Amino acid sequence: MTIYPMVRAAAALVLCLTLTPHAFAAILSYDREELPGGAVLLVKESHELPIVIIRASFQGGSRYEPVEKQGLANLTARMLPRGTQNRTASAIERLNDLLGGGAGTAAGRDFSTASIRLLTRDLKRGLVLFADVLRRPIFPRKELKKMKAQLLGSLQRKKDRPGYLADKAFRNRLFGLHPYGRQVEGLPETIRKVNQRDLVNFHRNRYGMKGAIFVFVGDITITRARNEVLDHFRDWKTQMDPPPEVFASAVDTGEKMSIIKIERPFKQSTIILGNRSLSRRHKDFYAARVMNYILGGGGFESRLMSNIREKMGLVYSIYSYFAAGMDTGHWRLMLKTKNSSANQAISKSIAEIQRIQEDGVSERELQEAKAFITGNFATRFQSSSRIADYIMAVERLGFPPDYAEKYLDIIRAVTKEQVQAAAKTHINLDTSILTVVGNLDEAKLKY
Amino acid sequence: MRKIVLLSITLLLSPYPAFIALGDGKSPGHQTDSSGSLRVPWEVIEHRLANGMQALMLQDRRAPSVVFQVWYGVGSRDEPKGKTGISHLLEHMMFRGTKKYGPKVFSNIVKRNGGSHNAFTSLDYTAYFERIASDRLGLVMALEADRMVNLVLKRKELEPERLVVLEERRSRTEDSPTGMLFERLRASSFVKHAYGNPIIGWSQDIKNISLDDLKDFYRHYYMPNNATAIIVGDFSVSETIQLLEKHFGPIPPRPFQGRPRMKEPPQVTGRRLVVRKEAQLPYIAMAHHVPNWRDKDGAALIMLESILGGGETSRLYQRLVRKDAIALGAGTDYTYVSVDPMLFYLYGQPAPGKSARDIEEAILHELDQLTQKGVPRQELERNLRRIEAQTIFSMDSHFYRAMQLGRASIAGNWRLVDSFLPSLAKVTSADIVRVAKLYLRKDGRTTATLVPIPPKGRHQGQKGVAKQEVIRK
Repeated sequence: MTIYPMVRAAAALVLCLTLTPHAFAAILSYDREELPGGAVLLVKESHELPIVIIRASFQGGSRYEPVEKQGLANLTARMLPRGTQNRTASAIERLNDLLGGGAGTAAGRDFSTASIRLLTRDLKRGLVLFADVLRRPIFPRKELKKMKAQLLGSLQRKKDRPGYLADKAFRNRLFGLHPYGRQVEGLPETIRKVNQRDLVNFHRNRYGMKGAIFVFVGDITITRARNEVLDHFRDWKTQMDPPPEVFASAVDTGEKMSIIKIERPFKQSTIILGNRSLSRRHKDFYAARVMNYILGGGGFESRLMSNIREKMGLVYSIYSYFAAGMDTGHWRLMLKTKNSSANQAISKSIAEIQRIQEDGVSERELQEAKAFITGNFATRFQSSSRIADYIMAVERLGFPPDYAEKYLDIIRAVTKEQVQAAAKTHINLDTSILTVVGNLDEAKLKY
Repeated sequence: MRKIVLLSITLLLSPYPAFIALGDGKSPGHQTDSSGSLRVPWEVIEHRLANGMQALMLQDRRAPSVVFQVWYGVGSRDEPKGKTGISHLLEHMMFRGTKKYGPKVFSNIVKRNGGSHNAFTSLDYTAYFERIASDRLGLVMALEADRMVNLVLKRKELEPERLVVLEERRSRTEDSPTGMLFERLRASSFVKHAYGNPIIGWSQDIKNISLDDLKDFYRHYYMPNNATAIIVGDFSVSETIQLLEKHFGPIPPRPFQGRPRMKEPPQVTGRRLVVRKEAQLPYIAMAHHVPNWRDKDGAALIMLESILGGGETSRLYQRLVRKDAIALGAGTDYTYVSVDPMLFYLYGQPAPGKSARDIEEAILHELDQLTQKGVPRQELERNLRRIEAQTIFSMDSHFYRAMQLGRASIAGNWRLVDSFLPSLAKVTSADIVRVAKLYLRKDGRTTATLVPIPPKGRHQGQKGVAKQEVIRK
């Protein structure tokens, strides 16, 4: 059944923590242990439902693949369940279905993740499968060939999606060959170059106890979790050859905004405007988060939504966010509007950016933003999967388990001056890139 | 995030049973009943207000927050001709102010209290929800009770919202090849029933809906005796009942004319349509009229949906995507919980170099195999286990649990969730073959094909493109 939510939630790529003082302590207290071999174990017990959510993270994101083999990290992750020393792909699929179909593997830009969701009764069997897929994949050639064909087809299909086209062009211009400028799936020409040996090597290098993070949430104890992880993974060595150097290619940060126009016969223009910006560990991240809530991250409460959607009716979706990564990041504003309104929506968006940079925010806006960010925290953890995602994100950033408390304190202390300074420093129209995908004859862009 | 299909998320469609029969029932720490079934915390408390409003409460104390939802028995199936999309437009207008609060106040109050909110409209229902700390439950009840009866509809607020909805339609349908394909497929499948109309409405209708139309529609459907409140999370039942009585109790019931009744005449000949649109790859989808939960065949149809299209070992995925690699995706979709009987879909997207016809033939071949040879016991068992596990997994989320209750309640009886899994366990291979033959017949099938056309500016023709938009056989 198709449902029509009124607002598409802005993709929350940023780690957004919000909390009420007493609420979070109970929900988010979890155990952290360092295991032999360099892995970390994080466990949150909760016995209300007979379910255990398990996630394992590895330093196997696309940042560790050579530029000429873009897509290698993704292919490695996705090929893990396609055959092991003990099981064929079909046997793995059958077992996974029997366990409820809750296993999956994926690569991101910084990390790769394997996850499985099990009924308590299936824990033993599920972990055997989980370990087999992670430790003993053989990446059969025949399966790899099919997987590559499948990926090439899905890349072609994605060209129907204006959001994908805009994101690809925008990232590429913003970060060049830096992992944040590339698509995790890779490109058709680089996917074709990846062979079985590459996968075997990438797996040997990037997967193992060293740097691994295991998260268990649900119907399990810390003792049981520790024993299971050690039983299955204790002797798992990683080779860890030095990874390729990650570099951000020089971006032409000229005097004014640069523009990418992509002609496609869509009814709407899909527009991304943004610039390189802070990393997740930057000290200004908190003020920037509050600022962005007021500007474009706060749903109906945001200035962009109020003025460009509610008042003018120009868009259905409009939002902005900081995608703050491990070593760098970006800020972007995204909107869709009928082609003939593109100019108006862009100029109105730019005016909103300039207004928050020049005039800052009101005391009321500041207080309401902080009230939301801190008050909403407890309500976000209404499922074990959400809790697992949170715990994993905190650990990946290298923050301690009590990070939530500190986060709350820092948010509370953010001032109007800091908010305005964050707008001025971390949104930069001069070095920004405007990307427009749509029917350019109708849009008649003046940019 | 949806991958290839565009219709729904299967998890969202499966109702929850009250007690789930698990194989061994030996999981430590969980109660089992006398039959050895595992007992999961799914105890719904029902409360009915004197004005006819129903409330369903489900406690889950894992986090000190609640999901509060108000469901109205109105959706696109209830819309008058020429006014399609009015339920959804009204849903948007529900955020634009009441007698007590001006426009935008609703959202501001919820958010500065740390809550989040939204709404959704479908064929059978319109629903509003908030997610908020438990101690603010009364606050969101006050807001929902207020807009149940005190909505102010003004032209100044309507006109920009109409534009917003037209933008929404462009994103969802007009710029989405598969969005458009499924819209046209449903429109061709139903000749009489309003399920044939798009939920978001036809553009022309969205443009024509007047302020008076909205006012009439609101008065007709928004009343306590056509509403269900659902509360899932950490709350006290007695306090919550008091809050419901305080906020919703004083709203008088109104005479409710009921929802329109309609029946789709049986489809006796196959139909075909072609959607030609700029797209990278073709797509094919077939729709068949099927009964829903009210019919004894519903359980067998759920199993059929699962065997053909559920999970990695489903027949369509294994044959088309994994073995022959002729499709990028393939699957099924069936709506069991609905007010009136809906459709059973079979669909697939060809891999580059393959045609929609290749996919259609392969899907129908798999269907033939199933009706000729039946389903081995092991395969039945595996599907049953998968559905069972997924049903429990889906309980992890407060929001989905509330969704299941809401949908079942709107469809006619929230308790139907009780009988769901046990009824699946009784389904035999012969039942599945019988319903496949009976409902997925050629005569009752509507087949829609997406035929990509080159972007404008290029003029070369394409082989095999049908000349007519709709061909009826």
